Amino acid sequence: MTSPLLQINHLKVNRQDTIICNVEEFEIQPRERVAVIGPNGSGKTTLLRVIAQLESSYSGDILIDPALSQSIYVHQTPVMFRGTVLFNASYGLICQGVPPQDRETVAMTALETLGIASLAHRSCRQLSGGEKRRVAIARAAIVKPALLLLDEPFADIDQTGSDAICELLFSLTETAIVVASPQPVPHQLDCRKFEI
Amino acid sequence: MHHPVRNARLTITCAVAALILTTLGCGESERVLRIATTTSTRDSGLMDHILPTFESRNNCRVDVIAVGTGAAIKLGETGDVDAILVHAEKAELAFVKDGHGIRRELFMSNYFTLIGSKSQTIVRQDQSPAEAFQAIVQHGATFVSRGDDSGTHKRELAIWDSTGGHPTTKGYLETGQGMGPSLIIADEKQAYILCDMGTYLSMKDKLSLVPLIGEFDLLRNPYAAINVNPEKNASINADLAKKFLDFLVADETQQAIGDYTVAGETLFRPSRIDPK
Amino acid sequence: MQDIWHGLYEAFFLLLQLDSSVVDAALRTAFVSSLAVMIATLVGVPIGLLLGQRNFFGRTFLVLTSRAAMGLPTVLIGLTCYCLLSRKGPLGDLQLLYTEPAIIFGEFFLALPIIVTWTHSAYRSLDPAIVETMISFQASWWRRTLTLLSELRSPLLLAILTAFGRCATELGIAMLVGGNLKSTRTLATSTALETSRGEFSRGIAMGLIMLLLAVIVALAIAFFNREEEHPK
Repeated sequence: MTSPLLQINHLKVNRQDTIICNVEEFEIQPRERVAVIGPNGSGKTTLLRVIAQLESSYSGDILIDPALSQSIYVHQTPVMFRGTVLFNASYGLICQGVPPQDRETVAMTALETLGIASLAHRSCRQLSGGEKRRVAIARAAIVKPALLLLDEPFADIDQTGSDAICELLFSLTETAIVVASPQPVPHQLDCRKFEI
Repeated sequence: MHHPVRNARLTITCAVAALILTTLGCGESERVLRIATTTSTRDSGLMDHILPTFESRNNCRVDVIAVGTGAAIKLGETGDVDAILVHAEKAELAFVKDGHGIRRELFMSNYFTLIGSKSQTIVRQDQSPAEAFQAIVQHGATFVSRGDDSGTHKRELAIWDSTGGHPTTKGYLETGQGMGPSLIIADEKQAYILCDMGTYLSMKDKLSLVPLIGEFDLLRNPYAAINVNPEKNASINADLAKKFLDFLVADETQQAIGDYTVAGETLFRPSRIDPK
Repeated sequence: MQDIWHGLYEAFFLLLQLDSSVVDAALRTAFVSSLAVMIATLVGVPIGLLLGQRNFFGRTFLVLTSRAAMGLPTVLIGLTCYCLLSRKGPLGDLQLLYTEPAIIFGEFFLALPIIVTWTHSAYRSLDPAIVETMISFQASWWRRTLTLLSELRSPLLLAILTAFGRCATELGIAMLVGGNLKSTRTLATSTALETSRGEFSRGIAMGLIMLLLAVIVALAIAFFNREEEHPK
């Protein structure tokens, strides 16, 4: 029995006297896929952010395995750096010091999988919401983090795009993935369902 | 009987009437004499010393506009002032010759002096102005010049002429400003500067620089007052201007000029009398 | 009125003929102010970013001080620098007073609060998601700085332009620590001097250049502002 990457108990997050997130128990194993399903306002985003250690005021216990080297959270509203699609997609590789040639190859592959390779040299400002979302997912997936947290990745995405995203996520064999969504996620992802 | 409202109204009416009468009165009996002079003359404080007597005797106000010699003469040419009071002989004579001025009176003089740092060793006390300037250039020491075509500047240039021209190196600082600010700058830089004794004495307490050489003819600085030609425009107060020049050469004023001291030393030598 | 029209007329000739005193003042102003703003940027941007990123004791005080310092009258800054640089002051031995470096020194302090405040303010307006994303990708300190500079490119440029405009047209500092010597005259101090000397045409010529400078800076700022709001 492998130890979980992350374990959460009795999580309560307060904002202005209202409890916006209340999770009794949550855990995720390495390479596991979990879909956090719940209506709007149920605290999905908050849960993901707590897991990503982006929230500091909450009550409860969080146990993080040292093996969890990197967790990347992809925001519900995708955020783009100033520059081209290619630059954004390769951002993680740039941070790792990967040489430009290799960077471009890896990034373009990911963009092709998501069907947005043609946008590679477009400025991010000109993208639609769905396009930005795919760039952000590519950016996160490329670095193959130990834990990938996707906040409503299938919003504004059509069927083709949705299939493409699933294909990309499928290729991440060493990554644990948590997807937050108001609707059930595509079957291909084969996720454990966690209702919130 | 107390009628508060009526009393208040009365007081206010009286006050307003008094104010109006005073203003009207000022307009009629107070006349203004406008003179242009140099900043060094103003900085010496002499004007504040002798003008009050003139003002009360003639029931008027004297407006002293202190600018550089060139600007003062220009104000006379354009008829913006009633009289000019400068110390630049060549320019003064031209002013009268060209018809800008109708009467010129020499009324006092003082000496220019070369001042420098207390601890300096380049200039010797017995040197002439030309020799001193030469020594300064040879040692590459800092020299502050007015650089503004003023009387002082013209005299400084005249001395440089006898040494072969003024320096053009970085050590020659041209301020383009009046004597007072130029002295402050020279003091800050502990540099050499040609200065009229009047301004120097009046600013002695702010400076650490001291006079270095004696009184030479080349350093003599005569002051003249000139009445501006009243034909220039109708606003020129020729009458007061004439009285002003008479006042300057009168024995009593001449004595006052000779008596005027700053920091215990006399600044000016009256032209018409031997000060007692 | 005649004099002023005449002055304007002569001023244009002075500009067209590239009169030496006018060109001299213009070049000096450009050089001195550019250098001051450059140094202020190198010092101020890191400070501004630091004030935004880290919370430490006295941070609020520093932010408020910087903001207040933007409104300091230039003559007050000039006076303070004068006291520092004068022979009798703590930095008197450097003999900097009445030199160009003294003006750069003073204008640095004029530009610094502008740069710091705007950088800090720009950082605060940055989408927190940007910083979160940078951190989650484990970007190095250097990479994060580069990314921030890229993201804050527009507000920083605006700050630099504003600071330059302020430095190039200020009078108080250049006058007090520069002394308005022939070798330290800027456009502003020259305008003041020539006007007080009755040299209207020169004064107007200098004033026109300053006006031109201010207009160019304002246009540049407006251009970059519009670019920011409606990118191509």
